[in-house]
Amino acid sequence: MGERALEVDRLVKFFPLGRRRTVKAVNGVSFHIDRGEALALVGESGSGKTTVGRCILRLIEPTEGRITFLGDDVTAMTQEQFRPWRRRIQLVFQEPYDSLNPRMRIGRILDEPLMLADRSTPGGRRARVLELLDMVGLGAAFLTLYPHQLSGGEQQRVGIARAIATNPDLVVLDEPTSALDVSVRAEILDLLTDLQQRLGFAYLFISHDLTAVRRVCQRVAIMYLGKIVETGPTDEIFARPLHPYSRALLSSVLYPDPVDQRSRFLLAGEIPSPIDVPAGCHLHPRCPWAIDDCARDYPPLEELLPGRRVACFLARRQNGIAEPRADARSGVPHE
Amino acid sequence: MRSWATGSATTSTLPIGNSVDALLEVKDLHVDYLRDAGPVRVLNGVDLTVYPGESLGVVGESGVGKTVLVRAILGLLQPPWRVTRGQVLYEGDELLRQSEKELRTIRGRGIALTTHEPRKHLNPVSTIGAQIANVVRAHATVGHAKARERVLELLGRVGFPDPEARLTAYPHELSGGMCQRVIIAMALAHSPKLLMADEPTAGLDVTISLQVLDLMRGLVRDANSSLLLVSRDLGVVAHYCQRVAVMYQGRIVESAGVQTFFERATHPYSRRLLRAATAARDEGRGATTSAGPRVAAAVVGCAYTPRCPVRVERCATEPPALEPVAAGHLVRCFLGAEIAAGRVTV
Repeated sequence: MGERALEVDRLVKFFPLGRRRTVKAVNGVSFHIDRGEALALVGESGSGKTTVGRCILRLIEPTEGRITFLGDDVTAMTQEQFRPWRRRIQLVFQEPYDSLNPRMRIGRILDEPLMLADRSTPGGRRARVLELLDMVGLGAAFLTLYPHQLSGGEQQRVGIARAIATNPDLVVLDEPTSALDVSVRAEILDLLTDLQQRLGFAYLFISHDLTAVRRVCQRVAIMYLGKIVETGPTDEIFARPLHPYSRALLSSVLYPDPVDQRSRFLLAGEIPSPIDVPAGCHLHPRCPWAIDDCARDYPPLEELLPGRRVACFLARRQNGIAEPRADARSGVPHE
Repeated sequence: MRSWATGSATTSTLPIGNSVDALLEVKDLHVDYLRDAGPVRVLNGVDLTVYPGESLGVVGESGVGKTVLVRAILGLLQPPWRVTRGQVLYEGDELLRQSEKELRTIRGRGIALTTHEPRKHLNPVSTIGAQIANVVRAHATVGHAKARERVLELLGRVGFPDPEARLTAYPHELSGGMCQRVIIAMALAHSPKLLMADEPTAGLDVTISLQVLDLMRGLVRDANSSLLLVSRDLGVVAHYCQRVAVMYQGRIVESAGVQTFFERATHPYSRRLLRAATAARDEGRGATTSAGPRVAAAVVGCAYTPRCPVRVERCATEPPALEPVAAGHLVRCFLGAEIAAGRVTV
């Protein structure tokens, strides 16, 4: 086991709505990222994945729980104390254009984080800016351009260059490719993989798209309505998802292959609102394989197979295999 | 358990050639966007045919003119957009020459459209029931009670478990997936012969996307209508369409049966799209090349020339025609036959 870059322990974030109603955006989430490791946090809307990212960056204050960054408890710090940590935890945004100041040239956009970190002379900073542009596959020609003169993919490359400018230990990527076209998306994913391997950043890759994270991340944590339902090595989750929700997510991926022979596994109904999470396992009203226990209690996230943690009563009862036996409630998932 | 293969349409029943009359034919359609600095050509000679009962997927990345195309077909473009050339034939009738009044009889009844961002296309201050009832009454003189009955039936058909309860709901009370279902209910209110679905799953969660696509396919199939599905997602097209047409910079660059396309895509741009899309599935890293320079607005020859790895001299100066490389497989590329035969590798 490598050195921990980040450790998130029982993180809770509730947003009060007044009249005693709360959005339970994140409800007891624990995970860790080793140095130089890429972890994907995958979930659909309302899963709380973005809220987790914002808590880690201290953009919002967690309700409960602890976040430890390279051994230091950052939740106990004041914003002022946390400031020096900021250059070590950086963020890449979803909308590349919206995240760049339209009135700054690219050179200045990349110079800003260096200036704030005030570690070098203007000349040294300029050399670093050129080096950054080179690292993300853009040349010196981009120095004097404005964001609107760049394509979406180029803008996102600038966003990535800015994030890695101060040599952070952790880069939080919040849906970095979902605003991009497919052919550009593949290029950006390749770039992210490449940078991580060369420079050894730890990544927290937040996404709703399992296929995007597959190429970049070694491990995946899948979230549903504020909780992690399954974690494990990427390859193993792709080969055999254990939680019914993971299975449904994977089954929803439409591969560009008309003779795809995978069997389908669809969930019924809509994703409930995080204001009104179902009692028991949050998935049970949509899960075709729910058993009696599921409506009563929330299943614990337990290691059922080596390296694989799953929160599912059925999987637990059957040593990791969340598939109904003949005596289970329903045999075949609906279409 | 059902497999993907039996779920998606078979290609054997495809009408190829002139054996069946086309339901919709778009010929050489040109659309300009007028600016002070001069017009920008957005559609640059689109040729497209939809046969009765088939589902055709129009694929392309953002900005290639997919949405402009479906809006031009229905005569919905307004200045600064202008159709400058071409024909849109629906059951043989030229739509571009029809008056607004004539077009209204076709919109919704002959051809219906579902839009992406469904919430934006619903009236925020009117109930779902009232909005669908409006659509129901647009083409039929029915009383209040009859219209209500029809609305309930439509809501049930698009999968609302309790239609009665939704009649008085406002769009903001519905999720994105439910708004898309409402739009589909409206589009199908008059059993159109052709449903054009513009990015029906954009902005929807993945587990909801499949529900919406399944629903749409089922409804179109039951009514024996045709589907023109506009998408940037090759996965969606692979599973929900029988034929594919690839759009690039305002032109169709390739069209083929879905099986043919995913086995033997021929145009260099189609190949690039396919490679990028399959990279998501295959563990290995995609053999993606750099996007290269963005394409200038006015291109004399093939618009893909600046990015094309196999371009030849004439590509930059002369536009290639959309020509068959096999039965039912059209490619707009000078090297199409060579690539299809494997003599040139892309």
